[in-house]
Amino acid sequence: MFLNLYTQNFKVFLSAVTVDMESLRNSVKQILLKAGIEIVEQKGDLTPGQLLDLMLSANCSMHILGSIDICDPDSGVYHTPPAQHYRTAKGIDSKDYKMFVWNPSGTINDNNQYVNIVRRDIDDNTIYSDITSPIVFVEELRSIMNVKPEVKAAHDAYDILFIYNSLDKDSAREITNMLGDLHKVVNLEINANTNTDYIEFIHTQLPLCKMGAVYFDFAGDWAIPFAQQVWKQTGGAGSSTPLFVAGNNSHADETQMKPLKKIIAYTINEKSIIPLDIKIYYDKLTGKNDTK
Amino acid sequence: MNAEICPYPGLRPFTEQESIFFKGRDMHIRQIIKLLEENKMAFITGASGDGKSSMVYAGVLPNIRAGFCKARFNGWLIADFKPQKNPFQSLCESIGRTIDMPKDETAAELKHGFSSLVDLYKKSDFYTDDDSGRNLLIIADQFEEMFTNSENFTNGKPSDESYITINLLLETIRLSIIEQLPIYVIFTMRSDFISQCTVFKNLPEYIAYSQFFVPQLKRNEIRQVIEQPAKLAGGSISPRLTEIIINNLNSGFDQLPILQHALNLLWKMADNGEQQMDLIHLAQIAGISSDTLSPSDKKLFDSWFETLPEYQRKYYETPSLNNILNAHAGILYESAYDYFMENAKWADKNITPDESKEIIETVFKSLTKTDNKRQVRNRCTINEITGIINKPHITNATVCGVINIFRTPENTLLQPFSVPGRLDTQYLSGDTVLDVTHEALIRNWKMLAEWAEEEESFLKDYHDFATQMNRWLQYDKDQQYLLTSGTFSYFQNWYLANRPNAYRFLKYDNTKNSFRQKLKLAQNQYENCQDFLEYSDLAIKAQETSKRRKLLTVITILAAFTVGLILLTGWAMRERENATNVAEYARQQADSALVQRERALKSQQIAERANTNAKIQKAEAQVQASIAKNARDEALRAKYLAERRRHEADSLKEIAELNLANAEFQKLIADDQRQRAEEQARIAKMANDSATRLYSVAMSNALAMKAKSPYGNEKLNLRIAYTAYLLNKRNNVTQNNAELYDAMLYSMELNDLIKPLKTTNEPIAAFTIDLADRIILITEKGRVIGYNVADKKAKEFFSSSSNNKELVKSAVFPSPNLVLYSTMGKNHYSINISGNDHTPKRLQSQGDYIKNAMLTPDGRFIVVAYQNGHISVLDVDDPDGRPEANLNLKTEIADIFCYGKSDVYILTKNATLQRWNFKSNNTVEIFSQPGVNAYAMTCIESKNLLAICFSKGDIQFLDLKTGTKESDMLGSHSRIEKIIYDRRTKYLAMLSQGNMISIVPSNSMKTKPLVIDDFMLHNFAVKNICFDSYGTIYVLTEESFIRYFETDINLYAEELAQMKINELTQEEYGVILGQSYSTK
Repeated sequence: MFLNLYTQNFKVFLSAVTVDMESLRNSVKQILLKAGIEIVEQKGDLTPGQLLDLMLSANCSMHILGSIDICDPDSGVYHTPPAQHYRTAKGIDSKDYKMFVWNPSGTINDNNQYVNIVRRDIDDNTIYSDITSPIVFVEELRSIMNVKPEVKAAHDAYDILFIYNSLDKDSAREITNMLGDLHKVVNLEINANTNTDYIEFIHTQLPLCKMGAVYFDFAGDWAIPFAQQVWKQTGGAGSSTPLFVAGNNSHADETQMKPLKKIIAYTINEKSIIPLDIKIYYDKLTGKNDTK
Repeated sequence: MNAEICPYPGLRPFTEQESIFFKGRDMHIRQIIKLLEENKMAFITGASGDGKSSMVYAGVLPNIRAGFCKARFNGWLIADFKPQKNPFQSLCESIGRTIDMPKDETAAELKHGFSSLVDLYKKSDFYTDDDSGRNLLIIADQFEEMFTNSENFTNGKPSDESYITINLLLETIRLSIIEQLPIYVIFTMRSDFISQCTVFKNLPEYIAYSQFFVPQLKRNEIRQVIEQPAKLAGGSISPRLTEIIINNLNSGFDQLPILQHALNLLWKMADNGEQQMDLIHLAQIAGISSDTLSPSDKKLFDSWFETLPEYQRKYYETPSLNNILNAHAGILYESAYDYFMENAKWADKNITPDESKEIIETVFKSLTKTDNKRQVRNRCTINEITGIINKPHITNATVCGVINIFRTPENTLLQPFSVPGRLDTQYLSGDTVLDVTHEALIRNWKMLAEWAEEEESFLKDYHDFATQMNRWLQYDKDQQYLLTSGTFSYFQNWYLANRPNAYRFLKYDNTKNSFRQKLKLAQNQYENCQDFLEYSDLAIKAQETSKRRKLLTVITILAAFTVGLILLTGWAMRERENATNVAEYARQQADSALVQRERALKSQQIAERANTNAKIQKAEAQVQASIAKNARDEALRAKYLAERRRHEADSLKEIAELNLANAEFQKLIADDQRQRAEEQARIAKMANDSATRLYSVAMSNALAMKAKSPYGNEKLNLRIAYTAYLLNKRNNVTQNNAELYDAMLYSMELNDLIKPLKTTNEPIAAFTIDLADRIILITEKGRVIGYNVADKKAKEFFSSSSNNKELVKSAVFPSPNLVLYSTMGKNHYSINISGNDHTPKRLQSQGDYIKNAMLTPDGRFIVVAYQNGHISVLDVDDPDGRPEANLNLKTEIADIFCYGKSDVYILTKNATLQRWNFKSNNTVEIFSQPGVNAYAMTCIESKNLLAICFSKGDIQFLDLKTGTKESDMLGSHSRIEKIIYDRRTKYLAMLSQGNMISIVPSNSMKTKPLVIDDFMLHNFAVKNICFDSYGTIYVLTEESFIRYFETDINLYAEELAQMKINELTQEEYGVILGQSYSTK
């Protein structure tokens, strides 16, 4: 039930290597084929533009580092094929294109000090490994390349995503009625006894809103962990859409909100004041209260 | 960035509160929740240290609480337990706590096993027919304790308590599947115990049915574990550091704890996430060689490294991810003494640095043990550890103080963790159980690994020693079972090297006995050990002495025998000579006599020999007696010496205890004296502060009054008022001082910073503020106009046409979208503003003007009060239809207030308060005060109080339900005509006769109300007041201007600060007040 069957097809550009790595490269090539991965290689001379096109016809590139510097040690120029492949891959500006750099010796010694430079050069799309087994390395490559891209459903933009538990639906509706006069609000009622994938919905809808509001009256036990999970799933402090938790003071107190302190903004107030608090938070967020 | 938040917990597991930073297992959490939804149970197994508990507590549980597990109810009951030494008791305790039932009662309910747990749940208030019930989740964490604790599992056989616990849990799962009950069970267990589960009937089938083997994290997931928490907390980590960490992380044991610990230190090294975490930080925590850094980073590292003390540098010699923990613990070990001396205020500082290290060694040795050839943790109390240390001057206080550095929130290598500022978490009680936070520490701190090996070796020798000693005890301490000289020498060395005592033996007692019993047994064992060694020593010495004596005896005997032999030979030769002479003489006569003589001679020889032998035997017996006597004397002396030593030790102990008690008493006296001194100092400081404050207030008030004088320079007024405010604020005096407020308002008005809002030219009948802080008003011509307020100006955004033939006499806004009004001719209308149709709807006439109108809280009805005492309840959707209810009190109404679905509080002018339920048409008088008039009323809902204003400006606060007086205050010196309450700022605002407006916070009703403006001074009559959503008061005057006032003077001050208004200089101050005063 929980097996990843690695059904996604992808291509890997197998870079040229220094002479000491030729035999390993051939061995890896066979392993890649057995793993069901299509290989792209440079055959013959290519202009830089043609090389770039060829590399971009694959989804990722693989570079094997040996004890000989891929850069010409005398001139310091990247004109050797392995160095050209490495530099071209580094220059590809696409977050979907991955670059797998493999140092199979697993060590750095006097002979391959240049690996330190390569390691310091690692950026977001580079995966560096010094695993000694080529099988394990290819397994990792396959698992990294088999991450499914997120498909987001089309949703409309709103001012506020207003979330509440079905236990509090009556009072939540009174609040949304009041808020609805001022802002464009989309409601989400959470009921544990349904098949809706709420996280998926929030994932897609929240970034399209200016703020998310989690309201609770009786369902305080639900609201705090819920807000935490949503905060975590939607980027935390780095999220562009902040969350605001509002609790009815007839069933909540400050101690209950302690887990949210310094992480998520919240209020505890009378039910009738909560729309005002949400409005004020929204105004602050959008800079509206500065004009008075 | 919040410095208090570290998104990586270090060596300890994630708590439920930290679930927000628990990343990398999202898919596994969803899979476990799916298992629960489908199978009602999940049996989570995995290797030690792979985060099973974290996954349940920081992953599955928060998701379940957040409503991401499909279940019958929205709420959850969580009953979690660890089997510990009695799984049934642990289960009962947890279930009882969860459903609020005493533990004993729960145990009585559950002891019959099978459906007992399900029955208990079904009978509870949490299993309901409607949605208000709660699902039950049982978590059996660290289930391997069923096998690791000898109380639960001995010689391959589980205890009865284990059987009943398993029976209850499995049967609960079975019934919840069959009956579709919202009960779920999660088990977590180390996978190396899976084969032992077969001893429980049915358990293997259930495991196979719903097992979840925690997978090793894949590269992508480890990347999430590393990167996501930092991002969530607003920090970042460089891609190259992530890649290097992933690569250097060994797979298998301790992968995650090592990683989390390293990340925790990296975060702190990067200035609590203020900097991007990078390779240099990894090098600074001894996780990577500085040689791999870029030249610029290397330079930075080298200059930083030079600042480290010498003892720390050695930990950077072999950098690696695993070394980080070794270096961290090692540095703490080295610096524990200094930390103790500086921080352990409660402990005597009578130990040396070496003793501090010995204490740490003993603590960690006590907290580790060997189980199946693996070094694992072993919980111990502080009392036990102090007992093992066994030095009079080292008390629990010393032990706590020395090891505290391992328990701080920054280090968390030992638990329980201390909390800064909480002494009870630093100076722990003796029965507090200490535990190593994670076994990864034992495997990665080299020093601790060596100690653990030493402890294992000790234990092995102890077992050998105990075997021999027990045989001796078994045979009634028979001498022949004592140690021989070779083994004695070995065990004596072992004993002297380890100096074990009763507490150390106690550590290895795995029986079910109580602690007291165990301690008694260990004490016996300790005494037996001492006796065994002592008797063995005596026996060996006695044997050696005996051997020496025997040798001496043999030598003596041999010497005596030789001398005898020589003498006998001489005598025999002499006799033979005589006999030869006699024989010569009587050769012929005495042939037969010769034979007899020879026989006699032989007899004599035998007799002589016998005599000699007897003497020898006597001497030997005397020697033996002497040896035995010596041996007995020596034994008695040794015993006497031992007893004397014991008495001396007891006396020393008593003296030490007395000294300790005396020291504690002295400390108490000193503490008391210190507290008194501190109290006196505090009082003196308060008096001083108070004097300074009073002086400053006087100065502030003087300045405030001066701010209202003309200087021909309006800005100077502003600066004087602002300086007065700052003086007041710096001395933390009352927030809203009337003089100050007046000065601030005056000077701001003088500078045109506060201007009335100009709206329509038509006279205004009434106004209100809506949720968006817009002004909605109705003119006397019946036109409704809406204004946005921006940049201190009102801009019209909506206006209705005027259809009225008569002028409006009175109007009220029950809500911002609805206005009701009466015309001069006493005709009544309503206009709904929210829709497009603004045509007034005519209401049934009640013969007088509308006094007030309110919506019921559910928004369904409008309650309209007329001046003549008539009250009508109208349907919001059909206001011009027939009223839902009517009441005629036939006396003038002062005010009304709607509460609940259908209660209306009616205040009459003759000061009676009635509650009318318009559904049941039931009226009850709940309060009356003859002889006075009442004018206005409002409700403070958060306190269930009604505030009623009487003719002389006094206000009474009445309980909403009973009408009893709770408190009162003087709101004004004249009649209060209107009172309103702002639920957000919790301020009351009052409009008094004479057009004075004052405010008072409802949470300090003893405070004198602050008069914020007296409109008599402006010759303006005030028609109405209203709060906006920020607590600003809007005031409508008869000249149709709308003015606004902040309830909080700080808001004005902030505006002046933003305008960069300067304080008065010293010179200006002197000129204005005629004296010098420091405004700083």
